[in-house]
This record gives sequence, structure tokens and C-alpha cells, in this order.
Amino acid sequence: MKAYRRRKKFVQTEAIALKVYDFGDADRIFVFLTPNNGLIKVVAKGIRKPKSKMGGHIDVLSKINAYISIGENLSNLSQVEIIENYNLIKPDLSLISIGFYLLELSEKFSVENDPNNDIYYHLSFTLDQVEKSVNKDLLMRWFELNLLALAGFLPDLYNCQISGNTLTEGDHLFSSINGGLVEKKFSTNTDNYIYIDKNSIKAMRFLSDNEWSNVKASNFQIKNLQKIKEVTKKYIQTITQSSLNSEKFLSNVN
Amino acid sequence: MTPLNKSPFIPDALNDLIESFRLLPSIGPKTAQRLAFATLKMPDDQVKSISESLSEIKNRIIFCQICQNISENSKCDICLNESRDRSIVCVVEEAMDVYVLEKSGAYKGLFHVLHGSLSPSNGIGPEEIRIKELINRVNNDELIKEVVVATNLNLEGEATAMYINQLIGDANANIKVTRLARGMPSGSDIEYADEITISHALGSRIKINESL
Repeated sequence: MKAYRRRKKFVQTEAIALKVYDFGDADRIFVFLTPNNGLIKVVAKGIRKPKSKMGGHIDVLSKINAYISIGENLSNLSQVEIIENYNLIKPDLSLISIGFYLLELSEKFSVENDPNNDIYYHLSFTLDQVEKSVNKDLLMRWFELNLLALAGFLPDLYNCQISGNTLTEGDHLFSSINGGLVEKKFSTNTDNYIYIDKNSIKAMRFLSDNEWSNVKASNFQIKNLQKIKEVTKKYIQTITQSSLNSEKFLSNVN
Repeated sequence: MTPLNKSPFIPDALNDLIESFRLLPSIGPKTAQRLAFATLKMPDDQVKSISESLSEIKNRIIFCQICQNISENSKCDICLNESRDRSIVCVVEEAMDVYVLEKSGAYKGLFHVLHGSLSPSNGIGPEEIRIKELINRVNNDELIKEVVVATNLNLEGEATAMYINQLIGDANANIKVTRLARGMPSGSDIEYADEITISHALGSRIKINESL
């Protein structure tokens, strides 16, 4: 019988490097987010050596063009070139901490082998805006809510999650477990709910329903953004069943 | 690590030794076998000496209470050496980096070992590495005038350097915080350099007379 060897599959793709850790003596494993393959883990061989030809082309928080040889267990990075190095983010510790936060959130809500990964474009667009935008808090809240929408977890902000009734204008409660707003009269155990005022609800709806160009042109009160931050943090923790590692660093630095 | 299929032709004691060698970095199954068979051929006293060194390493090595480098005593030889320049402290990620810098012969100051770098996405924050010890040291030692941050030249290393700079700036604004220069490696051709290295090399350019 003729000897048969399976031919290796190569993929050329745009990618954003989300995470990296050392592997073996001089290798590193990168976790990439890609538009057509979702999350991919690749080994960059010899990248820690000064003579590595890839070392200068790739780091966490870089958008790259990657040539990946797909393996059965782990894939190998064979070539890489930079598309965007985010040179305005990297010299600023505060912006780096925002970058780490966006990367970790994107990883939490992405899956492997996802052929239509809109989260990639959402992250890519938001990283571009981190360099340009003035109101970073607003940008992060917009990113979180639209990421939740893309991943299919957008909380219901229009109907009561217990009665199913359309909510009237006013203050309500947010239930992370029920995935949206609840009328105040239904609350039995307020520990599970976060009180949310009507202006914060309006702001949250506006952020989730609008493009960044509309959002950045609007005025938001700091207290409303803080309330949205509290709600989304609790909601993301409930969905992912863990707290984000980068969140502590973000609050430490800013 | 995948377990090695135990060969029926190799005694259990030798198989155990092969498995033990495989726990070390860069040792694959073949190298582990070669090392195990080489150990068999060694004279008894050499094998005894290796085995004693291995069993003692964890008991004898501690961290220097000043610089956090590995040491056999509460203060390491570098910290005790009076001829070192005590006005400058070089901050490195790992103890191995101390020996690389020492080997260069170009640095005569003191060290501080962080035992890692900030990596928020992997859950390594300031509390997990020895930044607090560095800040205490800088606050309490009036001789220190400069801190050279020699963390790795990747995003995590850069974030660590910036964080240290921020903390030292808050603690004592008179201390100069510097970073290792980055640019073209010695002996390399510009033709093959990547964009990031070139941009850093241009940014860190120096007058010809000032170069080594």
C-alpha cells in the first residue's frame, strides 16, 4: 500500500493577538482573534530569541497578517507581518490597561472556528477609537453593550423579565440572572437586583442601539455611565461566571 | 507531557529516572533516555554528587531580602559587595536575567528581581510580582539615584516598566527611572530589520561619540 501523508493546511488571515504565554525554551503561544476562524491558538517557534525574524512583528495588542500552518493539536505561526501596531496606545499605561480589558472581554465572548466573527471587527474598530476618542469610559460602555449584542447576550431593556409586560418609563431593577430589566413591584429579594434610574436606562438603550459616530456626539452624565458600568460588570460576571483579570489592573492604573 | 511508554526491556528504576529527566525544560523522551543511560555509566561518586545537589537545591536556595534574587544567604553576594555602585538599581524579570547582565560585564550596580511581569490577561497583577519590595527599597535607601528597568521588550514588559515609573514617580520624584535602549541587534543588517525595531532604533539614536 502506498505510503500516504496528510498534507498540511495553511491559513492566511488577519488577526489581533489577544494573549500570549511562554512555551518551551524559546517559543510562545499566542491566542489570536480572527475574522473567519474565531479564536486560534498558535505556537510561534523560537520567537523569544533575539535573532527571531517574527519577534519584532508580533506582540499582544497588534493587528497582524498571519500565515498559520494548522496542526492537529497546535497550529504553527510560519510568517507574520504587522498591519497595525497601535503606536499611540502602547506608550500610555492607561490606554494599555483599556486595551488589555477589551482583549480579555473579546476572548471571553469568542469561540474557536467561528466563520462569521463580527466580534473581530468590533474589537478592531474599538481599538482604533481608543487612540482617537476623548471619553474612554463611554467607549468602553459602548464596546461592552455591543459585544454582548454580537455574542447574543444583549440584556432586554424594554420588557419586564418576570411579567413580560412592556416597561413604562421610570426607574426599574436590573436582574443579571434574568438577563434584563424587572419592574420594581416584582422584586422580592433586592440583593439579586441592581436599582437603575430612568436616565441610565435611556443611556443604556441609546448605547446599545447606536453606532459609535452617534454615541460619541452625544452627551452622557458621568453618574449614568457609572451606573451602566455597575450593571454591565455584574451581568458579564454572571454570564462568564468569573471576574475579569484585567479589570483590577484597569482600576489600579486609572 | 505525554507519559512515555514503558519499555519491558528497561528496568523500572531506569524508566523512573527517564520520567524524572523529562520533567525538565527542553528535555524530550530521547534526550531523557540518553541522560538516564549516561547516568548509569557514571562513577558512583559523580552520581552521588548529582543526587545530593538535586536534593539540596530547594533547601539551600532562598531569596535575598534586599534584591529578591536567589541566594544561599539572607543577603546575596551582589548586595553585600561594597565595590558595586549603590546609586543604581537594575530591575529584571527573572533571576536568570541577573546572570545575563552580569556576564556582559557592562553593569556594576545593584539588581532587583521581580519574578515575573505584569500580565493582566493572565491574572498577574502588581501583587503577584515583587514591585512592592522595590518601592519599599527605593523609599528606604537614600543612596539610590537611578532605577534601570530591564524588563522584557514586549507589551507586558513595557507595561511593567511604565507602572514602576509611575509608582517611583509618586514615591520619590528625585529618582531617575530609565529603560534599556531598544534597536538594531549587533551584527545585523538593516535590510532584514522589522518596522518596530527600526522605529525604536531611530527613536533611541545617539551621537556617534557617545556609543560604546
